[in-house]
Amino acid sequence: MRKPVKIVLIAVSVLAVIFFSLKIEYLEEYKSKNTVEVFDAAKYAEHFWKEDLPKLKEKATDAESFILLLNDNPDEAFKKYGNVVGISKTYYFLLKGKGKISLVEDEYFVVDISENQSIQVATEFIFGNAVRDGSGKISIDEFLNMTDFNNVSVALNKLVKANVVKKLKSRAGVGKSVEFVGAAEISMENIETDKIRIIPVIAQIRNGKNE
Amino acid sequence: MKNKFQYPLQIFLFFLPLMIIAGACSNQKTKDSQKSKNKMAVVISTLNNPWFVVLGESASERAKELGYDAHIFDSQNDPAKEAEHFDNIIAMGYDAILFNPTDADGSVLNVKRAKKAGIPTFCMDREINSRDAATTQLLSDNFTGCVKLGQYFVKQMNKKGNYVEILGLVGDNNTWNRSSGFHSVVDEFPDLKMVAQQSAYFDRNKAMDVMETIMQANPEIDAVFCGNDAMAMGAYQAVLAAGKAERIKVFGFDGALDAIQGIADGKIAATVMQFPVEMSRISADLADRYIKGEREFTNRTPYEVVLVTPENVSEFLLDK
Repeated sequence: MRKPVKIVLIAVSVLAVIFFSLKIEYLEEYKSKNTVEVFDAAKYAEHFWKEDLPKLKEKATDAESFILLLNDNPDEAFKKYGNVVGISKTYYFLLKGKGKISLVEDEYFVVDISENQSIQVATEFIFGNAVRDGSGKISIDEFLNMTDFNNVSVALNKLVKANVVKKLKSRAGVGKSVEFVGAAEISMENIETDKIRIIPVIAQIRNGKNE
Repeated sequence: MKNKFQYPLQIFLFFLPLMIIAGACSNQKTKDSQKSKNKMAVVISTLNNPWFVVLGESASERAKELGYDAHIFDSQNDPAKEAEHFDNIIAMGYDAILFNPTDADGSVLNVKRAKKAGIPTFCMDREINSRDAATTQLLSDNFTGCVKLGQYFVKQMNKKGNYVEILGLVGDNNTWNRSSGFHSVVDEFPDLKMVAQQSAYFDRNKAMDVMETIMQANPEIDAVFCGNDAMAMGAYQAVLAAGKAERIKVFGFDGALDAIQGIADGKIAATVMQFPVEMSRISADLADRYIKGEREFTNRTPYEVVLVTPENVSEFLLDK
């Protein structure tokens, strides 16, 4: 075989080996594949629970005056105290109050916060976005996607169950005093001021002088 | 001797540059007049599902009402077709894209390419995993809808029983937002046991096949939760054919007309109503605002969904 032909064949073979051992793709595509963001909802919720939630206690709306306003002027009550995410008729509120337990049911207990007003404190069915959105401090724009945003709700609800509801359920009893901060979900289309139910985030039960 | 054509030639040569400039201006004017009617592309994941047909047609209709030329592109649930559509849309110089993606991760690059070409993208119903690629994303609040559905499910099942979950597309965030919303509730009740979980790709016929196979392997099933109503109707057909319609409760998601009628007729236990017409029309409005100069948009906007059960189904039958 002639020398030039040999050289060409070797060169083609070398080029073929190089070509087939390389994968060419857009840099942007490569980067997007290799920068997977892993969000730790439990860690985020834990931080919120320890750092942000205690500060919100003071900012929570007094349940008694809120219910009065909700009866008199629901639009103002929603506008002044409610948080809404996206396009929705459901608003979330962070409420606080104190009173005596007048009824204990499987899924909640009732606290009389004034002569004419009562509020339900949930002890089961701790689900949804009330805690996340009631605070008004967690913005959807912080998150890469809805899944991460929603996982924060799941993680916060787990903390509520573990840190608040478990103890509250075992100690709740008619006649005991309770002081609470909790998140409520209320739809503008279905306002029942005598059936407002909060998911408690801070609660203390007192039996006489004992906490 | 003077050439008798000398003066006309000089005149012609004198005016030639002016004619070229005038021609170019006229050409530009023609281009401008062609450009004066802006175009919106409506890219839909699949037109094989009536729900997405409504989404696409409503978006297109609203874009036309706003004075745009609007064209619908069907991705047929195929990311490669979707990428081709984006190539064409970029080449044809569309002004905005109303986009229902096929894949939360895979579609990001298409949206980024459009953004690089100066074309804003507005995601409708399905999201992409990016904070800044799309101008904004208007999405059904699937998670919250399925939390509501999950709570209703638990009560209907008296907190116990065996159930099946039929998932939609595994690459779609909506599939998992619905599933995780449902499980965030149902998994808290240990006597509710999921005996099978399988994808039927949001497809009615596939769901029927999947449910038939699952029922053969698991005769003791009390309920099935489907990621959309098309699959719920398919699952119901399988349940009916097996003579188990009285026992197995079927739950869906979407608020499709046949599922709503199914609830009224006692065939379907519950669904969650989404609002594709409103979402697509708002998306077209947002795109219009962008084209007219507005630049402040939130990253994502969830759109509330409503639980539909036999207790409130009459409201939705009347609306339809």
